[in-house]
Amino acid sequence: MEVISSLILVIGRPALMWFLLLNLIPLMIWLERKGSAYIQDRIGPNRAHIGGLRLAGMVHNVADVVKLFTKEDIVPSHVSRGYYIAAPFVAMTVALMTYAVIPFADAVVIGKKSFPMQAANLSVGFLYILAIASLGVYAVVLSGWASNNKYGLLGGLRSSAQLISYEVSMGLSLIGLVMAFQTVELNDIVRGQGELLFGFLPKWGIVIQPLAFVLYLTCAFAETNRNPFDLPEGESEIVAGYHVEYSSMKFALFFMAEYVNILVQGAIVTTLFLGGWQVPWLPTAVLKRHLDVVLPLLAMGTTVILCLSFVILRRYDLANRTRWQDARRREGLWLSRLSLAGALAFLILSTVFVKWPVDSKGGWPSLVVGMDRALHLLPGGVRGAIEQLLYWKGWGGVFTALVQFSAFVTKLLLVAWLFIWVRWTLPRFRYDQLMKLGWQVMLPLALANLVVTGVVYFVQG
Amino acid sequence: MSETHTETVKEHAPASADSHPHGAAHGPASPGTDAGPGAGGLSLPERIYVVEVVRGLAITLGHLFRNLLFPGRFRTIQWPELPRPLPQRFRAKHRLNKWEDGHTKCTACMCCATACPAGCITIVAGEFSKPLVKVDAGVTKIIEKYPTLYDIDLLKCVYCGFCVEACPCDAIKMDTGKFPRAGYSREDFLWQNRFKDGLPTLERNAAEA
Ligand code: SF4
Ligand code: SF4
Repeated sequence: MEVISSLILVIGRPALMWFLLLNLIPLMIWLERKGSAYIQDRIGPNRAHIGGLRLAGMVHNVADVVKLFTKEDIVPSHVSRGYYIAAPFVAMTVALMTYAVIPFADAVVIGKKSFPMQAANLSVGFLYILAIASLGVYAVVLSGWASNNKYGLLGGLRSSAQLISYEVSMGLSLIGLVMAFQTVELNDIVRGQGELLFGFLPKWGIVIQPLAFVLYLTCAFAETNRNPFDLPEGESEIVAGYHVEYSSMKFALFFMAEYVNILVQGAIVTTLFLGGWQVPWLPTAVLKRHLDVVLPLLAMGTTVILCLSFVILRRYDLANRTRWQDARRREGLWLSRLSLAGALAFLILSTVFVKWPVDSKGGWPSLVVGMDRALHLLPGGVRGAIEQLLYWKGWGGVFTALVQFSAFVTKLLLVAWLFIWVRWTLPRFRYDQLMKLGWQVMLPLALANLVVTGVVYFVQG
Repeated sequence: MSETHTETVKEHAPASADSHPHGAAHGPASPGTDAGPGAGGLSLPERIYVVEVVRGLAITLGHLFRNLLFPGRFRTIQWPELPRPLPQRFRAKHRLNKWEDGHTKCTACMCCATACPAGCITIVAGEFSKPLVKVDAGVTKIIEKYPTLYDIDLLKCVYCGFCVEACPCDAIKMDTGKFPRAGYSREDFLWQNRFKDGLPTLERNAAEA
């Protein structure tokens, strides 16, 4: 058991991170499309469907992928081939690498071993993030230069100037946090945020360093080349900027890298300022002790949400039955059935959680009615294995980690939504405004924040 | 006289200064900084920008939630599933009128083709083997001609309706409520009609709505 679980954890942690990141990309693209549509009083994608299933436009991503894969992959004759091809890979690789050090749950203790829940447990995690984040500019500069195209070059130039300007304030705004938590290890920073301030306020980075939060967020927008700092792309001025010469999957890599970058910045903001994997007011030990309450409650909550979605989908189905003359008319029916099935599954799960001694202190409860009798019918060896699995000591740690992981993803998605939300609200800055903001506003503010934080901590001792 | 004159000037001066920042030359004020001449009309909170950002975010989120909660508010028309109601006298794709027995009313007089400003009507006249006798509003008509071919190139047609007005026999109408949608070739937009002895033998229009 120990060996297997260690193996699962060692391979599973990076795999989970990749799985999460790569699967969140389509979700982000969907959020961007549908969110922007609703902000602008439009409907957004609602046509592409598989057997009638459109999933509110989510299926549109599949159409996109098919299109991008089947498009001709043009390498123009005037580019420097090697660098041109390398650039999108650099963009994607760098974007994915940052994630290695982000802790997505507290360390899981199984037996005597403790497994930190991050792909790579670097003691300098903080510096690693800053270092890798600044590597991202190479992809943009490489592609801009290798494209041998004036728009591409302008995009690359703008991007490098912008990233270098904002990296200064970015690093400075974070130093206050290092002062507060006395460490550069990300997991320790998150653990530090689990404490309470004045007995009721979680000691999150945003609470103790609000100015740094605003500064960092602004820099994060600039780092990800998102509106209002999307001058490197600037459709109205330089067509598409650095990726103007790219087509097919090479373009798709840039496109995906943009969303991975958003997710990465979301994860960093979450980790440093929003308490990371901390469930507010529930430190790991307390959470683990009360899993028998928390888990059924979570499952029940999911049931309620699924029931609500059933009601909504049912109404949608009844309203649209006659509207669509093709496979799409079945969508409402299928989805409402699916949500009802999901609600049932979670209801059963919640009763299981009530009786399942995830902390291995119970006797022999029947999880579901008749389950123990069914188990007795099985041959001894199989039964033993199942029992061992059910009463494995590690479940408590695993479920705690899962709850914290969900908390982390929730916060991460909220921050990622902020990126989209801001993009569809603010106009793009002019170049001189961008530079003024970076050097004349952000930098002095970051320095002032640093000085004030330093003085406060010095006086406190 | 001079007093009123100066007054009007005074009144106008701030107004013009106000309208300047909205001009093309100066965009919105640069965030948190003195944008020079362009910043004239902006108040302090507007220049700090963060407040305005939050206000803007509130507006967009308001739209988002309103649209989420009241999907009926969308002005989007789900075309082509839900066609938009056409005005009563909408000039849509043409239709050749028939007598009750199925004979076409068109007598191949070429009035429509002559009236057509786009020159998109092609008619080839043919002769009935036995003249058609019709009583229309008490008048007996002996019809000898019919079109063996009546084509309209809908890509050339400008939907002016002159053909309808020119027709002395009430044979062509534009009241189908249809219009060509999409096709893969130019031929798809050719509305073709063939007749034999005044009876339709073929009607084709690939890009039909
Ligand atoms: S509508 Fe006008 S353009 Fe079209 S066929 Fe008739 S006369 Fe010609
Ligand atoms: S449609 Fe009317 S105007 Fe045109 S040829 Fe026929 S009868 Fe004459």
